[in-house]
Amino acid sequence: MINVHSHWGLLVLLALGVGLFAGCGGIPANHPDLLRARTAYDEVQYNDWVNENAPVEEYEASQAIQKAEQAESIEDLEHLSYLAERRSQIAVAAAKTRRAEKEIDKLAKAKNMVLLEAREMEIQEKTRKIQAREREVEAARAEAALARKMANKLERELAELNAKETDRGIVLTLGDVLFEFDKAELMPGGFRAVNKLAAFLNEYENRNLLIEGHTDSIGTPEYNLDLSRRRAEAVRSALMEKEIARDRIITKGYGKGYPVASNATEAGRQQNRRVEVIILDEGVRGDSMLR
Amino acid sequence: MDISDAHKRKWTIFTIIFMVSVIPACAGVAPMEKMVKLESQIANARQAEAIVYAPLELKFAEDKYELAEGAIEDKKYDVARQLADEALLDAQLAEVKALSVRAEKEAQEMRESIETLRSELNRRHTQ
Repeated sequence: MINVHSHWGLLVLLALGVGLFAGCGGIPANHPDLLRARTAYDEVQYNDWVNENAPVEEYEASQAIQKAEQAESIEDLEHLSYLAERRSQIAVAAAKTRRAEKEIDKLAKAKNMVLLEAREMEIQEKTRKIQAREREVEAARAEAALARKMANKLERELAELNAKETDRGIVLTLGDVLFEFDKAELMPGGFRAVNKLAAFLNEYENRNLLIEGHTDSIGTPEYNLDLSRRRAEAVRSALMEKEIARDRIITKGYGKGYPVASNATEAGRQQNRRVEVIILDEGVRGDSMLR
Repeated sequence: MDISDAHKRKWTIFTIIFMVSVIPACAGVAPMEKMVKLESQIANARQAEAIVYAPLELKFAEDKYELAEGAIEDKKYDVARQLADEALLDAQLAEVKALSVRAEKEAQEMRESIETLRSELNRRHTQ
């Protein structure tokens, strides 16, 4: 018969060993499946955004890794480690999804802002264009009003120049007082009259001019012809100073040949001492109108 | 034998019969609810386009589903249960991974589109 009592200690040790092995210390702490599960869980713990965006999934992952750590058999360990690894991966993916969705929200708002900005700029651009156009219109109106004023002014000046419409054209008379006595030099008043005339002539840009000088009957015919001619030419020179083209103008001195009043009185003689500027009809040249 | 002894014996026999009949029953039920849930989760994953964005995880789930069905036929219910548990998480991962890839893509595309808009604006208004 075997002496049970002598082998008792051995039996106890054996049982203990078996018990220990089958119990808590039996699972290798570095089983590869468990390591994989722990690595996956590290990523969950390490990244704040996982906890921020997937707290429930993180909690489930932490529960799963704990269960795996407490597995009581290799088979259980493998199975629970697999589940724990998957739960950690799910937590990370869920967190990424929600993080991206939050960003999409923000981006959608930002995009709207940009589109609004674009619309704003378009509107501003259009407004600027409209305002520019309005200014243009305003300017054109002002110009037209000014032109009307000028035309009116010219009409008045024309009246001052005693313009007369005749069959030869529009006749303006520059009187004797506008010239220095017995000379062909214009007085200041004469220059002023020529200025008005030049302004008026700019309205008739395509008309030609005939300038005719006349004198009274005092003095020799040669002298009077010469003086009248030189006075006509003086008016032409003055007009040329005012940018009236020379080839528009023909001058002629008639001396005492064509009086307009009686030479018996000084008043009449003064009237006869004149220079006539004739604005010819369109297309007519001075030479065809000479007396 | 007195009455208490007979009573005790009756209760012992009753307990033994009860345990013999109930305990095997726990291990002996097919995990049908789990399988239905698993089917549904796999469908969700497919809907999320996991076949494009998480094909591996989806395959794991579907393969394990088939293995679980086979285990149920063989009446190996514990094995089926384990497979179904793993397959369920595989399918969940497949779904959420697909969603995350797509969401991150969409965010990137939006970033680029805003950038294009902005530079277009700048180009037009600094001419």
